[in-house]
Amino acid sequence: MSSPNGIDERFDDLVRELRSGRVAASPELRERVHTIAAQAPPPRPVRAPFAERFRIKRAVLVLAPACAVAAVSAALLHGLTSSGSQPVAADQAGNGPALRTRQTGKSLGTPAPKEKAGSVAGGSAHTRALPTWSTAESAAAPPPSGRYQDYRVNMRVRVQGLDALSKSVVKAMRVTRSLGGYVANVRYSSPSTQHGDAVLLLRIPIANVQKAVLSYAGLGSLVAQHFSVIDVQKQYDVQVQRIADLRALIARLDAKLVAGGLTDVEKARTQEQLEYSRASLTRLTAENRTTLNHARLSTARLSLTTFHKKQKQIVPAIPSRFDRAIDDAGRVLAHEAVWFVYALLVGGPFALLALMALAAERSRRRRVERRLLAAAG
Amino acid sequence: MTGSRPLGVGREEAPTFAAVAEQHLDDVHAYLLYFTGDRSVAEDLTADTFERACRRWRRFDPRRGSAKTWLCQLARSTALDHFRADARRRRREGVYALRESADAAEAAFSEGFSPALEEGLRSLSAGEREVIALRVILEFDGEAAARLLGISQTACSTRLSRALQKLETKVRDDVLA
Repeated sequence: MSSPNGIDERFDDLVRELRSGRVAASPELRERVHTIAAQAPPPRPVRAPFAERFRIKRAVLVLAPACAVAAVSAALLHGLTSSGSQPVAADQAGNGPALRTRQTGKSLGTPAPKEKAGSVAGGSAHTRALPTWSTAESAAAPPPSGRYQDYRVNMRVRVQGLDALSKSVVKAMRVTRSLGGYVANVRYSSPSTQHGDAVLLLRIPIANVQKAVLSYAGLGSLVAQHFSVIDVQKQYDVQVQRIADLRALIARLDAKLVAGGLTDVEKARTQEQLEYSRASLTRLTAENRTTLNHARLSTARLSLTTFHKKQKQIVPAIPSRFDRAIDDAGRVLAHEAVWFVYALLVGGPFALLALMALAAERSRRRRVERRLLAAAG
Repeated sequence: MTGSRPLGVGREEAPTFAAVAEQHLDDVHAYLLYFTGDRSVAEDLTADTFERACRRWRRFDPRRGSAKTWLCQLARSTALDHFRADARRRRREGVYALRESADAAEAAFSEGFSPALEEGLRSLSAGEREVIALRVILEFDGEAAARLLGISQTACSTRLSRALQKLETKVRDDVLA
């Protein structure tokens, strides 16, 4: 049992006796203390309420949940703000999977605006690689101009199944011929019973190239299209001029030989020059014919395939804004947790060492104190 | 009166050091007298305590504890410094200092105490007398006394019980003798 002041009742008499004894300071001591007190500084200024209330334990009790709340709030806020943009899912090249970018919400398969390609001059080449289209109308080819041009088209069209592939090959050939062109080369392969591809090298008159491109694109889903236009007018003109010069030269040399009056050496030299000029004329004429051929007929490389560029992907349903907010918040929380664990791993051992040192020092001080008091008794 | 209750009732009633010194001089002196068991040493230490308190008066925060507790903490620190210095001196001077210290400790704790109680108190260790001073004489509650001693409340209560038991046994034996 203990009394109200917490002291065991067994010692009540002893406690009463101890408390009855009066211990008073001597007048001399009182005087000394009064002298000391007279030199005391004024009461300390009142501290700011926050500073007064600030204690380590209280700070930890307040800061720990505050940090947790701040971390969760930041994660939720980030999740809410970043989930605002609605992702756009667009069909890429017909049946392709929708690819989306989170940041912009734009589909990678969004068709680029059409470019109007006019005639090209000065031997420069225009090469245009277009993204994929889902419709044949998206196929575009620059219109031919009055100048000689080397016009090349490269198209890749996806069709559904082998039947469609073979029909498309036949149709492409028929279209080419109907437009005045011809099939230079055809390669058809079907490694499996479901898939196959064909490559056609087609020559089409420049005047009908636009019609041809539209027809080829209509065979299926246009996956890719490239075309290049190189102006060969200058090259052609140079060739024509050189041919004319060579012809004139040959005529002069012929006339020189027919006129006679040449020494044997001169005659041999003129004969040699004539042969060389004729050979050059033959070569240049062939080159000129090729140039003209390229300028008259465009080259189209048409690839027809049943293969998908990418295997079908299971595109998950577009999550709601709430789901995205939760996802983003969770991601941010995970990042925060990683940082917290990292800080804990790095700082933990040091904090533990500090605590251990503190505890050891405290224990040592108590031990020393206990010994000191035992000795003083 | 309990030691844990803050002295300052309000911010506007902040006490002056002179008033605090006047109010708690006897308490500090009694504590040091019990702690050291030597009246003259206790007086010197009391003066030292108030000098130290005077220097640190601006740092005293009534919200963290009463002035009595604060003064007793300073007194304890002063006394421990004295004990350490005394121990060093004893080690240097050997038996002579020990005898001198025993001779000096003959002054009474209080005029009203019986010789048996005086003798009993003298037989206790400084630590035992200290806890009696705090809990019985100065009437600190268990929590304040434990905090001042830097030990747990249970340890403080145990130390007090042992000290009182020892004192009671000693007094009873002396009376019977």
